[in-house]
Amino acid sequence: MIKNAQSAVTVRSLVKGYQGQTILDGISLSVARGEVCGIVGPSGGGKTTFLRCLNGLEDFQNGEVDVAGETLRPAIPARERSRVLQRVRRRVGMVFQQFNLFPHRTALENVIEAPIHVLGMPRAEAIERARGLLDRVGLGAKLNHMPDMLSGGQQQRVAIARALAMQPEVLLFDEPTSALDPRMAAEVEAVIAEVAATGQTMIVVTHSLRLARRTASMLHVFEGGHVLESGPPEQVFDAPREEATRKFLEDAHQK
Amino acid sequence: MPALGNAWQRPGIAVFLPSPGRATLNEAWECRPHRALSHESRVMSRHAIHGAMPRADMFHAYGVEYSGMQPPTHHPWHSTATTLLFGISRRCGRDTLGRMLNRLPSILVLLTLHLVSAAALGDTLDAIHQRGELIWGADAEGGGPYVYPDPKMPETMIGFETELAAMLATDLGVKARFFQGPWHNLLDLLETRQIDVVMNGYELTPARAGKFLHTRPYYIYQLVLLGRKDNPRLRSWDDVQAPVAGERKLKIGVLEASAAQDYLEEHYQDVVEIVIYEGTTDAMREVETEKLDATLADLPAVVFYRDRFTELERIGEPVGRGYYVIFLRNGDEWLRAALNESIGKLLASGKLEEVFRRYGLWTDLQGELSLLGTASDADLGVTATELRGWAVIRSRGWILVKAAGMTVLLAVVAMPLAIVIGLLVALLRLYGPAPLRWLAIGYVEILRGTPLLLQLYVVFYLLPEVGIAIPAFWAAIAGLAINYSAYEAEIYRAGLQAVPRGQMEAALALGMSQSQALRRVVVPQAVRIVVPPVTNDFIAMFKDTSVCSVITVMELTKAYSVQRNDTGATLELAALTALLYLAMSIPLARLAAYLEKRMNRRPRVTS
Repeated sequence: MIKNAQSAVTVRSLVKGYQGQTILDGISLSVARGEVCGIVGPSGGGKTTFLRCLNGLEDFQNGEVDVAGETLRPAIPARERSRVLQRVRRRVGMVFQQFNLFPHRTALENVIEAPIHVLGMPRAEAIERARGLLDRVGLGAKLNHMPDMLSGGQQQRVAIARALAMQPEVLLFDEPTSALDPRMAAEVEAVIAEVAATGQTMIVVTHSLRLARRTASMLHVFEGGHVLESGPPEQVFDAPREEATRKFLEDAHQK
Repeated sequence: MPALGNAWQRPGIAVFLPSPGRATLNEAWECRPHRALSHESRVMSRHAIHGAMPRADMFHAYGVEYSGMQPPTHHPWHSTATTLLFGISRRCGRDTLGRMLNRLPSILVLLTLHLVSAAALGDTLDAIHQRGELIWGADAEGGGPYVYPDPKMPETMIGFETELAAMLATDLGVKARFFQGPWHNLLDLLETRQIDVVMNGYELTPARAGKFLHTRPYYIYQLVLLGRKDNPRLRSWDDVQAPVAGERKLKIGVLEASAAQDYLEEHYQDVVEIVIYEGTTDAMREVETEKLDATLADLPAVVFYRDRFTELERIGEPVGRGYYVIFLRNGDEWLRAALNESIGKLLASGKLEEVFRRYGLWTDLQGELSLLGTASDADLGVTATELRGWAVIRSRGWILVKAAGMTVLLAVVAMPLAIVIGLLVALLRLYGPAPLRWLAIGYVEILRGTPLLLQLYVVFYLLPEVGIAIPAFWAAIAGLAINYSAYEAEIYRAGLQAVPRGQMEAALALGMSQSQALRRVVVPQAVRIVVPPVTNDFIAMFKDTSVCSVITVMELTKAYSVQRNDTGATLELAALTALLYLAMSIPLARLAAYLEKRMNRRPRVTS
């Protein structure tokens, strides 16, 4: 695929193996600015690993990733690597399956932490923006709650606010609703959909076909370290080209 | 935690062993109805109980050869229990009864101990004859020329006291058996009946005379001031007396609880700084390495070690004068009589002089030994005193409290250092680059794998050899902090590893550097996790500070040991010492519980 100015993320022939097992087998795809890219597929298909390669939480053996104005490749020397990654991560947000809020900080403190200490934003400004974001995710009344006093859905919404506070070019979601019961998952879904509607570039790895259908403008089906099929959600869901996709969708619906 | 098993680092072990509390017993004895019973008949009955009639030669020794004898003030142990019961239930004056009631708790304790042990106790001389061995206690560590391993056959002990013990035993018709014990615990060993006598350069002091029986002197010692040959500040005793105005006090080392310590405290308390050591050679080495200006030591030790410390020389004339005697348990009148007789014989025959001459210890003064056979304590310039009960606490308590202050200071300064160093080491071990990681692992393993005691020795005694001299207090701080840092590092490693990996990832994903992520996210969480084990170590350190006494830091256990040795009031001082330790550790435990609770108001739930 050719690097183009309109794409926020471009991945070329990404290969990753772990302990002799191939996890990503030469994946190439690009995500346009403003696009909401959904990634679905059976467990073990490499979705999460792929996402983690984009912000350097995983390294890889071959290929290149253009993201946030940098190019990640396996050959970056260790000393340079941490600086490159830091620059990338500043501009690429991530929301985790297990939320990973800082348990020793209140909701508000979780959100202002990085703007103050990574971006150097004045505290007052950071707090004001954090209040706005927490309001936006429906937690304006719980600013000073410790994470353990919040439900899972509330924690995940704080986590989304925390990621948004960095004004990321790209926002990565790693199974954002998988650890939640259906009601809480629905709350979080609504927030993700709202964020998607603002034109935020996002990559959403999910098991939830409902979330994918609701938010994604482009869908990729991963299986066995390959991209099985790509296309707009309506097409992939309603008229899959690949037999394997059809089978995956059937299995997923039965669950 | 650092486990240091040697009993001599933990003198406290001995303290809960029975302490006869003789004043109490004597009072009981005073109001005993049949006190008129003759001493002889009591002795007879005692021997009768043991199925052995007293031998005629023993009476002979008792009455004729040893005219300095006084009737024993202590009745046989096995009648103590009955005596006490009888004494209490029978009337005794109201005052006496009141006094006894005041002491009821200690009486009950003693009573139990005596009941338990009564059957096993008899006259030590009988026991010696029965087993065919005289067990004499001494410390061969740094023990020349008193008792020390033969350089040619390190399994065999030599020394003038070894020879004296052999000769005394021969005279009793038995063999001598050497029993190795830590020098300042020898009287505890005596009291707990593990040895028959103590003979190890033990000077006759008022407190010892008040608590134990002793023989006639077998050596008259003097104290010698040893200084460096090239030290212009110290050429004579006059230099000690009148230090140059504006200059620091002279530092003089002495052996713990020795006559030298008493001498300096009595005559030079205000003009010199007295530093207390556990071994004679430690102080001599410190003079050579210029940590001390001088050491005041008994003449025999000075003679023995003169070849090893060639840079040292005697300063001025010998001072002080005192007597080495053999100490025995109260009640062992027979053994004392027999030993006195033997010493008399050895003096008369010149055998003892021959031994002393061979060791270079004979001085003109020793000629007086043969005249001291009948000398009373008063003649020897010693008034037996016995400090007990509140009197001990009143006169010595503040010394212990002050020493407890040192204990607190050591722990309070060393522990934060240990925590900081430990955290750094743990971070290096987990997140550092490979070479530093190996260094951190080596640091932990070496420090955890060697005793604190050894580390203190290295810091205090060996570093000066390479030109790094650290004052004792800071050496103790350094030793404790470094030793504990290894343990704290492992605690922190566990704590850091217990923080979910997602925390580090979340922090990195927000663009933090690794060090930022550690500082702001991971370490604060790890700290919460390690509060309980670190508190535990803090309390342990309070007690481990006692090891610092080996490098002359006067902390609580050391102060206890010194005062106990000086007064013999084991029970009282041990109780106070234990209370002081509790007074330190209990508030600390409370504080830790509070901290834990406070931190747990912000508990970790997400993973």
